[in-house]
Amino acid sequence: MTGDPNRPSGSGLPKRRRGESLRAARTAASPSAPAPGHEYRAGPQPPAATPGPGWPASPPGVAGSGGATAGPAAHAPPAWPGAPAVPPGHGVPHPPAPQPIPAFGPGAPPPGREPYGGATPAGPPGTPPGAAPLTLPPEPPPVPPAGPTPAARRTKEARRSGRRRILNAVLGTVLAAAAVGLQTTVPSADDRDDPITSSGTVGEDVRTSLFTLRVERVSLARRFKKENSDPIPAFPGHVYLIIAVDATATKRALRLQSAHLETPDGKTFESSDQITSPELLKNKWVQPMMWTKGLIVFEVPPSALPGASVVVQEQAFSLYQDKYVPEAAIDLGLDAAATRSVQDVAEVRTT
Amino acid sequence: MAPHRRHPHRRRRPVLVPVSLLVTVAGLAAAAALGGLEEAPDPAPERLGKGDVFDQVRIRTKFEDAVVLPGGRDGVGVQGQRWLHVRLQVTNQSDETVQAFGMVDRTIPAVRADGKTIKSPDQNITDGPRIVMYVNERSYNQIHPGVTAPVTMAFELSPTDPPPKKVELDVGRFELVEGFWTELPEWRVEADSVAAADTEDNKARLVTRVHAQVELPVRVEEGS
Repeated sequence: MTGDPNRPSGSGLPKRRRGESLRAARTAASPSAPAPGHEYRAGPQPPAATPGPGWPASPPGVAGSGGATAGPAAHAPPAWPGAPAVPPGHGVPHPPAPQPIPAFGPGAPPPGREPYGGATPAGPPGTPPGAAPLTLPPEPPPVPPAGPTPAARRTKEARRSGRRRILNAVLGTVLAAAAVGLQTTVPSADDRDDPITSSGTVGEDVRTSLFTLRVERVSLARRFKKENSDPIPAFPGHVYLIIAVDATATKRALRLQSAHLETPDGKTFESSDQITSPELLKNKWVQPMMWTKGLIVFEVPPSALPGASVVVQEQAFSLYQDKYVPEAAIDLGLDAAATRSVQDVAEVRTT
Repeated sequence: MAPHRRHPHRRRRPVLVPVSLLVTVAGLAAAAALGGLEEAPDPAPERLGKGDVFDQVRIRTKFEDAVVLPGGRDGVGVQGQRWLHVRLQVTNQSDETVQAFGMVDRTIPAVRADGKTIKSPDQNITDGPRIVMYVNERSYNQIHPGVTAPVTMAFELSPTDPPPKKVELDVGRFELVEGFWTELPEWRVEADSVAAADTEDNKARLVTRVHAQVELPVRVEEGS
């Protein structure tokens, strides 16, 4: 299709033959004669119905008010001298591919070259035979007569779309910040594992969901004496911490077998495994509606005592224990001065 | 859309391939120079002697003495027996009370007396040594945070055989790791997994990594 003089040129430049320079082609093409495919040839115009205010009808002779006239309907004669003459009675010498066999009379344009369908009206007398008349572009869609001008409308829409974009950005930022902020409320592994602690002080009823515990008395001693036995000295450098408690259960009978001392710096001291006595709290059943007295005995260095709390739970150890077990943490109210008042012997009588 | 180039017709030098080749070759050369891609062997265990202290992270142990005593001393055995006492001073460096038996038994997996194994990780707990903390004529087991306690590892000896000249201890170390299920920090003795093919009974197991080997001369007290 390179040498097709009827091939419309999208660039608007004159078609050149092989070997011809652009300058020569420009010179050959007269300034008044537009490039092939861009010229307007007078033809029977379809009646323009009601051209809108923004779409003035193109005056005749203007080469296309848009790109529509540069379509395949442009059957322009060759605009350069020496172009192969189209013999009358013949169509286009090199018809495009979809062109059917010309079965029309001489001068009738071939069907199918009309871009908008329908039969092409015969050209007026004087038009070269075989040149299909051009048609105007289709009628633009009617513009609503009322309302603001298109420019004002576009401005308004642009403003509205800008506001929407800002709103979306703000909304997205807020959602992202909320998602990040919610991450801070996710319980850590420690939180998930920690028991549910009820805190209190000496003499106060500390209620948990399973039991209520009250520390009655706290005493310190260097030796621990059971009834009818010799006093047992504490581990070298340690003292006995003897805590007398009252306990009652809320739902079912249980044994408060786990007790440890917790210091303000997070160290934990297990209760003594050296003292065996039926008076120990871990050896007693704690029942609902009854208060049970018991002892918790620690054998710890005195440095662990200031600010320490006793923490009591139900089970000493269980591999598959419940999560969120209740525990009572009771501040013993021991300060440095209190830790110096250590009695020599703490005697325990079996009740 | 094609990127705008400042000089569209200038041909760019092919840099990527030579540079990546150079980096690869340099990396391989460095790896080869540093011993290849084989796993580096563990450092040799630290050699310690009498009176030395070894930090095992959770605890700290001083290897004081090894002495042969007659039965009934320090709360171990009865008269007529002969026991080898390995005396340690164990300090609890953690924040919670520990049990002396577990600490010493787990971190000293093997003991040899004159080259003969008298404690191994595979033996039953009843065949192993007695681990006691004998204070005030009472046997304790708890070691509270920050407390140093005397712990004795005692092996019963044959009453007729001559006592050993020296005893050698393999010493491991604790590490604090995050538990797989609980995601909580847990103490664990550092150990290496050994494949089933590398064990005598064809069972894969964890073997405590030995960080120190302690050699103690054995002295014999009178009467034993």
